[in-house]
Amino acid sequence: MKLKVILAAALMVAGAQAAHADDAGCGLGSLIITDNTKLMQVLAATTNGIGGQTFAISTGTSNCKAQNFVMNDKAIQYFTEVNHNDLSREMAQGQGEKLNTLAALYGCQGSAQKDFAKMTQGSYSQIVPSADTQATDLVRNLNGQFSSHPDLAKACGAAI
Amino acid sequence: MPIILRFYSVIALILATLLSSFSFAQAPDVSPTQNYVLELQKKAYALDLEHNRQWLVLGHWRSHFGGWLSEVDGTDFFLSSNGRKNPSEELDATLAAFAAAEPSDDHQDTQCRFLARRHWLYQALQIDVKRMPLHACANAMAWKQKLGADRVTLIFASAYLNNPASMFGHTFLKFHTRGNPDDKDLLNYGVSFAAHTGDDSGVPFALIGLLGGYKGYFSLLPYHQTLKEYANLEGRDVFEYQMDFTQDEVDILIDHLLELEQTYFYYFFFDKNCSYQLLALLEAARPSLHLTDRFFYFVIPADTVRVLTQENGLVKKISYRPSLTTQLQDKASELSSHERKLTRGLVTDKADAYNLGLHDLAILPEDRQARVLEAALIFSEEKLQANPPDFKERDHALKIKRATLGSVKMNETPAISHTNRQPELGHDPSLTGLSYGSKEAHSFEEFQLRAAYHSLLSKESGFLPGTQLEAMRAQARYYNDPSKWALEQFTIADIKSLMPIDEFRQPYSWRVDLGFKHLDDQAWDSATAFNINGGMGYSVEPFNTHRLLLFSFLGAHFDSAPDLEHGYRFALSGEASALLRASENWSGLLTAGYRRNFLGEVSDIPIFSLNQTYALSRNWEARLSFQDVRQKIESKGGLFVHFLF
Repeated sequence: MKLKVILAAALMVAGAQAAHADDAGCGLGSLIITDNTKLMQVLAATTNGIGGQTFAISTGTSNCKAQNFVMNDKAIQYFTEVNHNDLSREMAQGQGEKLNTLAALYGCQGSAQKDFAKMTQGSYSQIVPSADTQATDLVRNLNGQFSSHPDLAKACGAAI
Repeated sequence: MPIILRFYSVIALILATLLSSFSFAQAPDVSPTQNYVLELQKKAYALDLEHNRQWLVLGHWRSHFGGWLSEVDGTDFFLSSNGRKNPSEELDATLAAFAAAEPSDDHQDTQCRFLARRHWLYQALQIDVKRMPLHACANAMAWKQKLGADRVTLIFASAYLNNPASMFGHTFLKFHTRGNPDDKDLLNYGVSFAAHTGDDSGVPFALIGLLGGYKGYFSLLPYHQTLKEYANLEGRDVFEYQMDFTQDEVDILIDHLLELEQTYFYYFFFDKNCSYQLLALLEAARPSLHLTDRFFYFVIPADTVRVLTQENGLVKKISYRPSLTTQLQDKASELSSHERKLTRGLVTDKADAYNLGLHDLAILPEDRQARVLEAALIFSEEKLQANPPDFKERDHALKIKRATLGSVKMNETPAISHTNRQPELGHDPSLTGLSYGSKEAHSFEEFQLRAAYHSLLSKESGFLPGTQLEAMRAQARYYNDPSKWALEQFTIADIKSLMPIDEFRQPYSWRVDLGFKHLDDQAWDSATAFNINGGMGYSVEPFNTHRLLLFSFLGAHFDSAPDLEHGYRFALSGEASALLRASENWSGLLTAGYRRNFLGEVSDIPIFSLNQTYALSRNWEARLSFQDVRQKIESKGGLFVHFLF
């Protein structure tokens, strides 16, 4: 019985890692601000307040998107790249909507999302070891954490 | 006119068919399919489908000098070369094109390109699918399947902090997608109509935008990505208005979106903007809605939201997402003054002071530590966005610190309600009113008309507090004795931004106005002057209450008028004001200032004024004012009403 669980967990982790094996990321980078000066911001917003975009989004999302949709196997990577800072903040706080959404992308539902938040808070310094941790590293570290938390891996994997 | 055209087009089609049969000399008759198309065209004509509201909204046709003109600018949107101006010919051409054989590539298939037209025409004409088969459109269907939308929500991203010019906001749509992991809202998709501006910025950007030089397209982005841009980077609160649409209506909306996806509209910042095109989309889904008709010159996103909420039962549910800025304000409001200073220091202090701060933090109870750290992390996030290299190490350290505290039981304070910020609660943008008053003991009646948008003392609900944006304001006066008409003011723009400073931000307050007006310090019957004023300063809310706002400005003033000795004068000024929000409906503004002209003329002008506004309802207000500018005393009172122009 115990063996079965371990085996299942191991498979799940392998599956999760296979699904997110492409750590090259989406090339999304971050959202970049094109109009940096105060004047430009005011000017842009004056004309732009009625629509349009003051902030351009860097191109290169195509690695993770097809027909404008985020590809299923890139969903975690994509979500993490866009919401990198918010996610690390919510991990540190142990709760948040974005964190729950990430948990859901990993297949965690209901109380497993709370456990996921607890795990990411507890293992924060392993998931985000430095100020320069990139989104791709964050995902890789997070995937790695599942192997040391087999119960969580099982709970979330079971929901996939 | 359309009848004759319709007649000619039928004749032309018959002729063309005859000619082709002559030239090939194969079939003595038109093909059964062509026959059926003719039959359907006649039927459509008999039913007057070309003037059916559904057909007109799908083609974005508007009546135009007695004829029709579509607002779609891309010619590929029309199958008839005359289609942009002629809904009837376009309908004929559409039916003819739908009868064409199914191409192997459905990207080339007219039926698949115009799914909303197809859906409606097949229904309205009860088209026999045996005689005119429906094509599979595998690509489009797969795309729709993938989107799996069953609900539509209109999203309003409110104004930018400290920028009244952006108080108009921005709107886009969100589709609720069936089958998202755990039905997470952030994983839905948003559709935005935006101008493709390329790398342009600054003045060319503004000018081209105003003149409609950019092409606007619809685009699809994950909702979390759009939110990131508005709620985090731009500090805009986001309001969501879920539409009460049936699945059929949602499908038509998406079909129509696909029709528009490959074409474009010229983007006009003032009228043919994001909000206007979204209203047109909603009309396509439910033609009984008349939303775009309610706007003539300006389409302000906040107004479109108001129009939607005024439609009975159209908005099913309203929800709210605070921006990062609002989250920080809310979190900070739960902290003591000491804790707020500590919070700021943890993010911005240099190493020594930071270490002292950590010490101060450690002696707080755990739940207070957690609160301080969480407020600090939001503040740090804002700093990080502006300047990553300087703040990333500190941000990281604070996150580690918060994570180390682990889960902390905090007394949940009830979420702060910001419902009074909902744009639909605001008054209408245009204003007119009548006042009676006297200047230097000469009584007058004054008529005012203003195009847009909000004045400082008007009711704040639905607007960014402490802001004013007035454009195109005219005030005409009739003096009773001696009787005389006078243009008191014609203001092109009058903008104020009063953002109080606090522990976390120290924005400038500023104001600028320009236009023509009577100079307050001159005789009541002096000539109208051109004038331009600007000022900069700071505002504070001293007792940590929104009721009282104190601000002061240093200003510069230029007047040009024939009555002045050298025709112009230039002054610098200082002034202090108190804005009292006595109640939700009642605001008063007391100002004392001193202005010194030192170019053109040398003079000193002491200024004192008191203004009050009392909101009688959402749109009606009473105003009372008194001013003493170099002993030229003016007082007036009047009744004003806001309206949608």
